Amino acid sequence: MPQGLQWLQATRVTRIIQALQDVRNIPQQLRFLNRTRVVPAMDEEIMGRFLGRVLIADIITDDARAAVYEAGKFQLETTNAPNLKIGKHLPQAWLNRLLGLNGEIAADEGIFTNWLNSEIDRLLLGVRQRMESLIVAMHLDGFSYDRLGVKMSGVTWGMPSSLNVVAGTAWSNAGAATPVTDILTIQRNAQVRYDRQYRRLTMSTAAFNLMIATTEFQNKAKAFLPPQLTFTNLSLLSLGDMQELARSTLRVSEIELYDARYFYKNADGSTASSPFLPLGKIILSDPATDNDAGSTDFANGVVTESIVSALVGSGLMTMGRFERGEFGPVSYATAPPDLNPPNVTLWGVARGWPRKHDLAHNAVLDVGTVTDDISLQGDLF
Amino acid sequence: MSMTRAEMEEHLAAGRSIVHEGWLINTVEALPGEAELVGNDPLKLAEAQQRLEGERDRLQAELDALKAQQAEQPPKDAKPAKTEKAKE
Repeated sequence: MPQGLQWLQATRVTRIIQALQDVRNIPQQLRFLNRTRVVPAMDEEIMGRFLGRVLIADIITDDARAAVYEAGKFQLETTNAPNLKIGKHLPQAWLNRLLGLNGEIAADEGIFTNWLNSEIDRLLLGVRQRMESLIVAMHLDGFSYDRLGVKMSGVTWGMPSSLNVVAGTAWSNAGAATPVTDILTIQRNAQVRYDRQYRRLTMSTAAFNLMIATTEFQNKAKAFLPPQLTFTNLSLLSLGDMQELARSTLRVSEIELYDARYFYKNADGSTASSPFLPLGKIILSDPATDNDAGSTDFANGVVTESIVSALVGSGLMTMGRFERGEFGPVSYATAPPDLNPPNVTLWGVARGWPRKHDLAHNAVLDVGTVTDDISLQGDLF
Repeated sequence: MSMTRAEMEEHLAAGRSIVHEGWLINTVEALPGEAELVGNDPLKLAEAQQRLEGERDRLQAELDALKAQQAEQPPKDAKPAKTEKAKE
């Protein structure tokens, strides 16, 4: 055991286990990224959209001239993808501790052994989390960002106003809200106007709890209960049972509860979190369009770092040297060339932006202010 | 709470629609007036009646439960019976 680390041997640390923590503190499955195709794209790639309408033919008699109407038009849009990047600095003291412990403690869940791969995995996951938040913003047709000098405000993807809906009565008003009517109205409108069947609802558990507590839902759901039962015989806390009942009442194939959160550091060093899907927003979508690049995709570009690395060759990067331009997400490490002081910075980076090709791909319903009745456990450190 | 007409107009100006009482509203002209509830549509009137009856039943059940709870407890201001001082 290296000098200075004998205390670990003396205390017989033989196993590292994970402390009890709120599972929402742990990165969770990225549902929207998993159902969006990541497509290689070049900067300023131009997408064209044809706006035209089929007109019915006129009846023309012999020797008469037919009417001529104007053709449709092309709408062009380009995407300038921003960089999605995060770094982690490993100072000298941390490096000494990690290298000293490497292999000394068995059964450490890879926290110390295999630490380099674990850190890189975490950085790449951070990049994928940002991709997830952008894709969710595309589904909600609204994105604002103000951090570290980058300001984006009111970014939209062209969703028709009839699919971007606000509930006239907030669902927090259990006696007067009409969640079943709200959702069925949007579905009916989408089917008639755009021939879309939104058979999946994605919402937070908090919004779902508000929905099942409303008088309207309980009245409508009675039709799907055995005659001898009423809602007083059911437990609203039983999420699985309530989801089954809501699926029948709303005539959808799936109701998914999405409560995953991401974490970030404030300027003062404190850690804060935010849900990927805002608590009061509900996304209506069609599972048949999952992973359909013709509907939505994530335009993934070549990361500039790989181009620079290929140009300057070795010397700057200690790991992940690039021979040519690479599509992200990628990771690499840098260290001061004179090793003064000796430290390493790990990086994860991608370059891309979500695109919506089918403007009626999904609908969104804003149900008003929703608060989470289960508070997030505070930071452990 | 239900949105006010001003709030609805704000959402419409921002490019969103309002779903209200089974109607999808895209334009300011289609917004209900402040005093309008469900209009004369018989379907919407029936839905509103159903909703209000359900709310009434729920409140009635709560009231019954509270009354039963109250009946089980002794009155708070009950005073012990007065005893007359023994006359000497």
